[in-house]
Amino acid sequence: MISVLVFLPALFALALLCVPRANASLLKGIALAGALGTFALSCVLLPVAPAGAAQEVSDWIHGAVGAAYHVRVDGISVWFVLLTTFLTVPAVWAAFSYRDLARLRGYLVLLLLFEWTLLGLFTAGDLLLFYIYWDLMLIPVFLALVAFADTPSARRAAWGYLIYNLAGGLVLLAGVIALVLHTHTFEVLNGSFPFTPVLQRWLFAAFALAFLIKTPVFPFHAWMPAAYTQSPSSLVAIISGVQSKAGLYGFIVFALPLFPDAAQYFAPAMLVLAVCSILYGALLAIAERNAKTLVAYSSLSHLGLVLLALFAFNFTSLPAGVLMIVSHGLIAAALFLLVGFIEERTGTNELAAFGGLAAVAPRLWVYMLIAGMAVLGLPGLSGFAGEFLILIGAWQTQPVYTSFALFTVVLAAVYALRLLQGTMHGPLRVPADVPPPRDLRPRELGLVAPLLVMIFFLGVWPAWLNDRVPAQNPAIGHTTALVQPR
Amino acid sequence: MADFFLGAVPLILLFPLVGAATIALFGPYVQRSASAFIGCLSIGLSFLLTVGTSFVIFPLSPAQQTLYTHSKFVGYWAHLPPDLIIGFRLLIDPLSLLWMLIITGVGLLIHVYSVSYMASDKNYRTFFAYMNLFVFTMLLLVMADNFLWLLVGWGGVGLASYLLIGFYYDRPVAVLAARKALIMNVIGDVGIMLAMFLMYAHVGSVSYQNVFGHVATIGTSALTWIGVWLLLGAVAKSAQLPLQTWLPDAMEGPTPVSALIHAATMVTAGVYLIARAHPIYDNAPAAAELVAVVGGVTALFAATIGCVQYDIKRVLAYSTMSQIGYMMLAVGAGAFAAGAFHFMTHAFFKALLFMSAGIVIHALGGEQDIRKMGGLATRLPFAYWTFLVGAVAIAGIFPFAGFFSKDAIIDAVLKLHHPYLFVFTVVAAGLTAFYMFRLVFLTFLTGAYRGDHEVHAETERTMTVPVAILAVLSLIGGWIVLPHHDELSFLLRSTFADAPFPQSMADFNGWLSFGVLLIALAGIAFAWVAYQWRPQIAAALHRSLGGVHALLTNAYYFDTIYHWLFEWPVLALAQWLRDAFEVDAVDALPALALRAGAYFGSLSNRWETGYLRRYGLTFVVGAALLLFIYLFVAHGATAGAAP
Repeated sequence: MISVLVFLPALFALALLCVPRANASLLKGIALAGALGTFALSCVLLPVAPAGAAQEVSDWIHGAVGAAYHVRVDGISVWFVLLTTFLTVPAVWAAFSYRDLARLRGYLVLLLLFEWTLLGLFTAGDLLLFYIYWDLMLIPVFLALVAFADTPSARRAAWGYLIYNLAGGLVLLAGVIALVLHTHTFEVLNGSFPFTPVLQRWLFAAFALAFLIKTPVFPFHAWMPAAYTQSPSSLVAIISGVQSKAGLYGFIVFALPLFPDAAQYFAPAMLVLAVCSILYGALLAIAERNAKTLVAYSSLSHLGLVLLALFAFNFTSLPAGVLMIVSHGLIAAALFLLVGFIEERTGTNELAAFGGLAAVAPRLWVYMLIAGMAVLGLPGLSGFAGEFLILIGAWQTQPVYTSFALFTVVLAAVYALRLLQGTMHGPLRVPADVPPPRDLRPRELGLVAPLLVMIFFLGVWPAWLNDRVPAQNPAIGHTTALVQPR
Repeated sequence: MADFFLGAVPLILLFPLVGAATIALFGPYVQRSASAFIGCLSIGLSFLLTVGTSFVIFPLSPAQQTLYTHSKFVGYWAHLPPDLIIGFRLLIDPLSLLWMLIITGVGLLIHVYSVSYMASDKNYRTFFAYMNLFVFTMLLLVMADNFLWLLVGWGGVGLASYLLIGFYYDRPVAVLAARKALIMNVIGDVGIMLAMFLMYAHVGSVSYQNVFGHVATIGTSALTWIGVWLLLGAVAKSAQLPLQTWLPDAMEGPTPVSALIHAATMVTAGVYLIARAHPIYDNAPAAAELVAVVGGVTALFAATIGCVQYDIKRVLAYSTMSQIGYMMLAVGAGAFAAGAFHFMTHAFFKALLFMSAGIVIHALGGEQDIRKMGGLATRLPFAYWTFLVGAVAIAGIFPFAGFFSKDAIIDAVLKLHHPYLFVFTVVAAGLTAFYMFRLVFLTFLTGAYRGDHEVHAETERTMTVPVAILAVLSLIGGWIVLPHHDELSFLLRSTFADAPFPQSMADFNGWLSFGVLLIALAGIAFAWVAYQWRPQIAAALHRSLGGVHALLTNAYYFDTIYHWLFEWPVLALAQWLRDAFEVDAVDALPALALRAGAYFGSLSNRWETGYLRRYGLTFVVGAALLLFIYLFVAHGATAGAAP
């Protein structure tokens, strides 16, 4: 069933290719049905996964270093899977407003293919599948960027994205080959392998570099601002909401359990990078003048917090990190979609070019308020729950780094209010050549609403999620061997 | 009946939330008045239930009260390994009840007042939705039984305050004021978070019961830090030094907002927090001393500024800051009941003052500058008399409410040996009387009307009735504490049972009360001399004390100092990172890698000359090298390694 789930979006993408381009309503219907169907199917996994890993193994490659086709979902990866399927629905739905009808089909196909590669990554049961999907997911994003956002700067952003991430993938490939030369198998989950300390460090470094680039983490984020800003908002909702978690997932499932000693050895460096990301992202968001780029930098800041959670080696902060990953996915997707709606109305995301939209779009204001307050970390919304639980856990083992990270709470207030007030408040201003903006349409209201509901829900009841992240999960089990008692 | 009210406690919290949600969702589809009605009704129902619950809880003995203090356990908020457990249930002890009564009671009066006050506003419905949201979050703050849910309420009132300060969002000043208020409040949130980190580290819990039950096991140094971090939260929310600068700007919000949020309830949350956490401060004398000093200094500091401001609402804002300073001083010194008492009476007379001022502002079409008022006593007699009652009450004139509560604080400060702070409170009492009557004279008396707006008559019943009720309360509200008969600290006795100092305010120090009363009267007399009898005295004072006057007018230049100390460096750093570092370092990193790759590529280019002999040589040397490696290195190593 897991394989069905993974390939379902790809099947729907194929089906889309069979529909004539001109039949827009059928295209939209199939794409949305694909996204919804995949989400519905993934919900079935939720009760199955925490009880134990759900697996499917079949023969694949025979030889000296054989590999099985092995997919699995456990109490941790199920959240990444659910996040993917849950966010793809509004992303596909938001793409309906894509202006160029001639290219709508291609765009929807790429979105669904993107979902397929993400699901493949999060369900990969061995290192080979993981690596294949790791690089495969670059292709739909690159194509979407290069073909569907056709300005020179978008093309530059696409190449920057591809080359930077391929370089990371290359390092990962080297790491995977070196690792498999020692383990003689790709089945590395749930196993423990006696690497020499030096080898462990090299392998960890290779894996970590790839993961840090993909997330991205300071200072490896050069590809991010341009790629996020140039992407159509429905695409960046998935890039930031889901793809950015691939690296963190890699840490949780592969790097930390496989190389526990090296993780310990590199922990100070990783914590420094985490804190730098947290503060640097926040500061750049404060100085940023483009709403979309501002949200991108806030992502950099919040994902740094998850890195802090992982490398504080702590019982509390690790499951809180999973909560933060889900919460950030929801918040970032909601914000990017809303900023996209604004862009559709004003033709720009430059904060200097417009403002005061609350006067003409009260519903948009309410949505922006909720999403903005979530990114600000308002207690009672999911952003706060993740942030607070990470920090209270990390404080117990790493009070110094956590103290630095705390500054981001105040900085987040500054940039969240800049975004919120810069777009919504003050006297109404729009560029001269656009008609007066209208409020959110029912489709737009409907597609963001589930995200906001979940932001509320996880804010008042985060235990719902955390109770379903098993503490005795093998991935956490390996790393919790490192945890110092409180 | 008792079971009914105890069972209905969650409804007290839920009514305002349901009200806010109903207005937000269905407001656009019903008449404007329906939104106002829903807003008032939901708060009214909460108030009735709170009163009913009070009649159930207060008469019980402390031992019986503890049985009902906590509502049923609702569920876990967090349940994380190893032992981080945070739940949700409601707390309804006498301290919460006192705050709940004021929040819903005064809240109801202000809601009713707003029905007319906001009538001409185009965002009428939004206003009531925000106000209901505020009441919900404020109730959550005082009804939480652990610090996490207190923080949720704490952040919620911050949000409501932000929304309502920025209610007139097309005014850039209001937008900036709202931003400032929220950012400073978030600094306070960080303080409470830090306190919770320490509680969890030392006690393994953030619930009141566990933390307060185990204060003895926490070392004094950790306890002091917990106290200091909680104080950071309290000063941010209650606009005390050094995080006070947002409150005067917050007056950009509509006047009912200033009355409810920035006078009667939200800004007293800091006082509530310290009183609630009193077992921590009882065992951390240094932290408690710091609370007292912050309160005492702010009381005097804000009173001096209040003497020179010209905006009627700003004078009241500084006065609020100063009066909350009194409350903080009281709870810092250990006189928790006195602090709670002053909170209660202050809620009455400060809400009254704001609402009377609101009538004036309403009648003058939005004018707030007292230099453009004057002589309004005859034109707005109702506003005049009610404002006068409020001014007399806050000045501490017998037998008005402020006299009793302020006296209780000053008395306690002297008794608990804070001689310097005692002097501060007495001086601040004189200044309070002076600046309040300066306001009375300049607004309502002192010659003829100086403004250019037409003065509309005051008619709406929904505005006058709540004001009249508050005027009566400002008179009789203090009588709950009389010599030899202190009802309030008796009602609160179970909350403060373990406080180190006796909480009773029944033993009046007659001479002290008389002395403070004389000082207040002297303040009023000086205001009369300077602004009514001989206005040239005030003008002469301005001229001769120009420097001091500028210092006070600019509120000791705190805004300027903070701008250059914090705002400017952070923004400059952010700008530099964006314009220079991001381009020169971050973007250069992949470019560097590319250049390195290109360099190694060019090395191999040089070898590839196109001559066959070069390729032949390469082939032969390479093959020889591989053979060598196979025979001597790889093979030898394997052979050596094999057993």
